[in-house]
Amino acid sequence: MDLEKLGKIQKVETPPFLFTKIQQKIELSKKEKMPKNISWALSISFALLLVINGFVFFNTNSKTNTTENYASAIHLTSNNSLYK
Amino acid sequence: MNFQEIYNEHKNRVYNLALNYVQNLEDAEEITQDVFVTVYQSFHSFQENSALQTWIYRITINNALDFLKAKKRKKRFAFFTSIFYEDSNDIKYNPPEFNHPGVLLEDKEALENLFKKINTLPDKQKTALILHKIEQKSQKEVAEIMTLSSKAVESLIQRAKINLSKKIETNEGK
Repeated sequence: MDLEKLGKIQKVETPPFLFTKIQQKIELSKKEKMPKNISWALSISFALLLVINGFVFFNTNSKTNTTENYASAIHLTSNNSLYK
Repeated sequence: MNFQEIYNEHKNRVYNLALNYVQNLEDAEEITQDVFVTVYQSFHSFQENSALQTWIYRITINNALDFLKAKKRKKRFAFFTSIFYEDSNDIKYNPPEFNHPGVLLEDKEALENLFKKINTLPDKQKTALILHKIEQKSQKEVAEIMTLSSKAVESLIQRAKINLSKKIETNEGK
């Protein structure tokens, strides 16, 4: 096994215009970053909306229960029978 | 040192290292581009606890290995599509020719066969061998690049040689 041949491999020069291509890739990567930020902002907003909706929903339910409690305390009832 | 200066100083180093991993010009160029984009984006996080050259070597190695893994995945996917679709010629993965311009003509056949075996080595053994034998780095330099001890690098190189010998013997036995 002649691994010494590996040591004879010569160095080569980079192709021309490679730096230009790299600069183009950098510019492209900068533009791609923007949509990701927007999608993160949208996701967080949506999550917040769900949390707020959930909070309002459960808060409303508990208020309804309080109303029912008051009604039963003062013997208000939906039963229209006066003679029960 | 501005980005262009960094590029000018390290471009050949990166390109040649990438070439030693992929053995063709097109892929080496793609890896080199990705390396310098990473250098540009991550330069603020370079903490100077190693030399800039060492840091750039590490980025090159990681990019080259990631590139090879991605190629393997594409190849597997192409195999599966060829099972289900008869006319999938446009999806099939065609590995590029061995086209390492740094290889002398008289050594081309031998090195092409040798690289085929090197390409099957585990990543760390492959990296240690490439850095030591092709890039001509000392074991100490290889250890610094790979953040390993010199002993660990020595062990990797030994195991790489043993594995290559076994593969060559298996090939010759066929």
